[in-house]
Amino acid sequence: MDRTATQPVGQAQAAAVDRPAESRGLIARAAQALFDLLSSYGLTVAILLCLMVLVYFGTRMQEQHDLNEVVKWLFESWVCVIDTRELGILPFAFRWPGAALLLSLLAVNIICGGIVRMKKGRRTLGVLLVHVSVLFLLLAGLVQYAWGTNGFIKLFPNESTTTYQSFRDFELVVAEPRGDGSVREHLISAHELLRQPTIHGKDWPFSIVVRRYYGNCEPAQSRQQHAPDTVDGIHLRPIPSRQKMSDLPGALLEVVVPGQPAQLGIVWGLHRYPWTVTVNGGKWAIDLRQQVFDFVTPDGVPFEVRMEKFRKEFHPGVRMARHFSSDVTKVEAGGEQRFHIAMNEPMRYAGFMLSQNDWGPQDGSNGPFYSVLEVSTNPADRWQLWACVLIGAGLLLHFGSKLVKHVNHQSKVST
Amino acid sequence: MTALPSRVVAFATLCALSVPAAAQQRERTVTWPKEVCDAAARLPVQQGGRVKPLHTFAGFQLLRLNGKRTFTTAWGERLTPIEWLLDCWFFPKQAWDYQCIVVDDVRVIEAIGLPGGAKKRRDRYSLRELEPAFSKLGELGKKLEEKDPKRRTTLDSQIFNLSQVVPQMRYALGFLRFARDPVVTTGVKPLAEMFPGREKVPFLEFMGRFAEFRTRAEKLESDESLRPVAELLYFAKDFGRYAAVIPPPAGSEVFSSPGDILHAMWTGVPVHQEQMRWMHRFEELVGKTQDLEGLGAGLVALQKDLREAGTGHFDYGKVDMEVRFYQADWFYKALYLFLFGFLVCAFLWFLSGLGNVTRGGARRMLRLASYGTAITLVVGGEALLIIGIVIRCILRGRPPVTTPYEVVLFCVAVVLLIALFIEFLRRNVLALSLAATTGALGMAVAAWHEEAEGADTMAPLVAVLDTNFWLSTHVTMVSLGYGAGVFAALIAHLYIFSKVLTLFRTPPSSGWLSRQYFSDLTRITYGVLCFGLAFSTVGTILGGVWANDSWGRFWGWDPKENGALMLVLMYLAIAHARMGGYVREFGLALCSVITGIVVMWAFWGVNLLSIGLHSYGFDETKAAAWWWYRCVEWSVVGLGLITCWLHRAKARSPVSAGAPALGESTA
Repeated sequence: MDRTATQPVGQAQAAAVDRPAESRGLIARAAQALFDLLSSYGLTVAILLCLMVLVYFGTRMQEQHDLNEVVKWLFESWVCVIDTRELGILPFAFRWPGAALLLSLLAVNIICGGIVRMKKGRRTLGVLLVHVSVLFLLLAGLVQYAWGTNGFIKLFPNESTTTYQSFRDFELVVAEPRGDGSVREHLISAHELLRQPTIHGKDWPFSIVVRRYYGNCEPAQSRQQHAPDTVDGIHLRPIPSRQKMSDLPGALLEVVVPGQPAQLGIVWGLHRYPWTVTVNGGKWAIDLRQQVFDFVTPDGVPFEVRMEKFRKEFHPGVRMARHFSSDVTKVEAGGEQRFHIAMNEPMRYAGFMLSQNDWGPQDGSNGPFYSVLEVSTNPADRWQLWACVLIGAGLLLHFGSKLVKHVNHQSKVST
Repeated sequence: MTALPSRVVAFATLCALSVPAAAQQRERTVTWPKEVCDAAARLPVQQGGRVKPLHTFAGFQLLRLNGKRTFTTAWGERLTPIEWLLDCWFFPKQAWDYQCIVVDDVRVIEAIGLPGGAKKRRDRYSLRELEPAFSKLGELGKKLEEKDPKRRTTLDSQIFNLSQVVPQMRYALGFLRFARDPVVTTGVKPLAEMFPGREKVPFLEFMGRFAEFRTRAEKLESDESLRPVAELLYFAKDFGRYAAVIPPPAGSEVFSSPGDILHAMWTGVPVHQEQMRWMHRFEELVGKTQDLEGLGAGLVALQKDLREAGTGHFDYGKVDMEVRFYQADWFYKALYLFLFGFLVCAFLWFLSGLGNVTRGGARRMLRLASYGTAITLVVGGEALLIIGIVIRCILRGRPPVTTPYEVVLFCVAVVLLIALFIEFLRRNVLALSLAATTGALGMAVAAWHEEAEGADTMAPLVAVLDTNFWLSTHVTMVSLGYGAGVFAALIAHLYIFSKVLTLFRTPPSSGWLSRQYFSDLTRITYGVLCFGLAFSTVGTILGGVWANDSWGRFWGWDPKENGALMLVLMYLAIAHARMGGYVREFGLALCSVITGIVVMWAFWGVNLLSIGLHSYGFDETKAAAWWWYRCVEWSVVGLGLITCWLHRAKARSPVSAGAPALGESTA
């Protein structure tokens, strides 16, 4: 923002040009030109304006599409296509840099122009602090995106759980029978199913071929018993995705055992029972379910969450929530610990954050009611708060000193 | 009874049953005594999840119906909301002729099958005038309710609105029917047996023995004579739900409406004795309508008893304070002061142009007097505004940013403080004039918003907003960022229009339209933008931190979040463009106008998309206003670009070669 606060526009570039050109090779000059470009105000402005356009269309597109789809297309991509026709704005679609590309460029721009190239001194301390903090904020977002998880638990009072489910991510579970009656689960995420048409497991006597995968579908009766993609007269009918949270994926799978006829089966997000396959006398179960995560501390100690009590209050005379909260107990090998979770008062423990999300059943009945707690893990949980404090301090320092200077100047002029 | 038709059809039936055809009846011949109005205004009523004074309830009812908080009768009597409501309750025949239902377009009247006649395009109607179209209005309203609000035309929206407010008025008139209309026993066998020798029985007395009546009536398989009783029961119960005025028994905080009590009696649910006593108090009041003094004394006594009964159940002290708050009308008074302040500032401009008004000049005294008056008016308006905001905060126990209406008020107050501070530093009338303009415009927008909503602006908050810490940090800061953006846009408008004027006249060396004037405007604009940048950035990130605590994620790309982010990006782009020399005076003004559009999009535009966690629903009136606002603002941007181009051409022309350089005014 103030990287050349004391020198006029272009002076920084001029300083670079003053160096003896003869002593520098072509590569050095190119590198300097690249650095000048990456550290320029022009690039900053261009990135910010591109981001504005992206955010605007990313918002408008939510009128037509599910939020998560828009996020994937525009805000988690390097390059995206913005179709303005469906919004009735312009009669064409165009390619545009995605948020991943723009934010990466912004980070480079801040490092080059806002930190390396900027004059360092007392007058620019505030801006420097802001630039470093913005980088920290971007890093926090990256860490959350790469390593964070998000899911929920739904518990009635006195119920407990050691796992939580993802809101929208599904996984394929292949349960391998063991001799002692137990099973060993092999997990394949839904993204893997999309990427790999054939899945080979270690020590599996078979491979799984993904014949069809739908992000949102429902089983439907086929008119012809032996139509393609039909299993026992049932096939998967794709449904346009509108609400990703309620989307139910499904897949048509083929289990291929060398030397034996392939077995075709359907797995679907809402099936109550897995698809059972018999291979070499062993019964394997294959299922598609919401991704499950364990409650485990960073030291590897599992723990359990037990719902003690759920409270809800409405404003008098209306069905508008005034307050709802849950009392839970964390049960670990070392003992028990009580937590109170309410709106805006999450529970934080061992890198997990449990916040009050919902409750039910909301059908007008008198209970018992269950509480839905959102569970998230984010290694950068508090980084944004620190970044915010630092940015606030930097801005206060910078603009505050400017204001004081201006007021002093005005006082002198008046007198 | 359960097979009775829908409410709308019921209104039509009731009209035929209960309202005489005579026109312009005047039952109340003397004005309501002040103490009676004061007492009635302080009756507690529960609505929308909170206890409020009847004054507030009546005010918003009348605002929604009439488009303003007062109503003038055909004989010229100007009624306050509480007087209007008392008339509706105690003199319904008279109120039946009150032309207090505003219709914005006479085509609405024609659409429901009534002749437009001699009425104006926008006019007010009484229930008597609309009565023949009740059925059709109900049908149209039902159809339009199923239609997507975004697909409704303006006419559709107005018809739909009328279909909502007409029943509201009908409910007001029929509210005390349970206390007014006795049950006629003549010809009704079960009643004649229950109440021998009596032709009429008070409705509440009848309801007290309803179980017995039901047993006796069930023995009659089908008796047409029961129909009037059934209809009276249905309407008294239904219309009685208009207002929850019966305080709760100890241990509960839920008020009941007379309709709720009657429903409980009808279904055999025990009713608390205390609540029945209140029902009888209303019955007694209705019995005194022929004696206004007696009715007034009854109302005063009722209010006094309710105040005592309310102790422990609800905070009656705030009921008093809320009545005084609305009666004081702080914000309208502030609006008038800002308007007068603006006029005095305009006079100052006319008198001496800009310049340091406290120094020299032949008309120094007059200028000083005018300047002092303008300062007093604007500061006075700001004081009233702040007092009003503070009282609202006390009433709600919340920071002053919990609804869009409050955000407008808060932003105006803060922007005015900034403008007054700048004026204190520079003393050249410029910031003072901007303060007066912002104040007047801001208060007008707030008043328009309140009227367009027609609903309580102190409604309770949902659970996620139940946090004064985040409201007073995140929401306050983001609101300040919004306010700064709008203020910068306003200054930029002044810059652009002033630049247009300089196309036709030579800029003076000092004062209005001089280079110093434009330089001052740019400095103020940039300062305000920097203020907005700081608060928007920190406020938006704080919002993410709040979302992380509430929903477990820092950023969700929700439309409201995106709106705030776009504003931050805009501020940052302007700051960096100015640092990089890409924009100077003209460019900064144009960017500021665009910032204003971004602010409005973030504040109102995204709400109209009807998506996301912060959506407040689609509103056709606001959507139209938003559309017009964008058209006007982009036109201003276009005008600015043309003016900029003309100035550059003028600077290059040989004629102006000797004129002062306009290099500073190029983008």
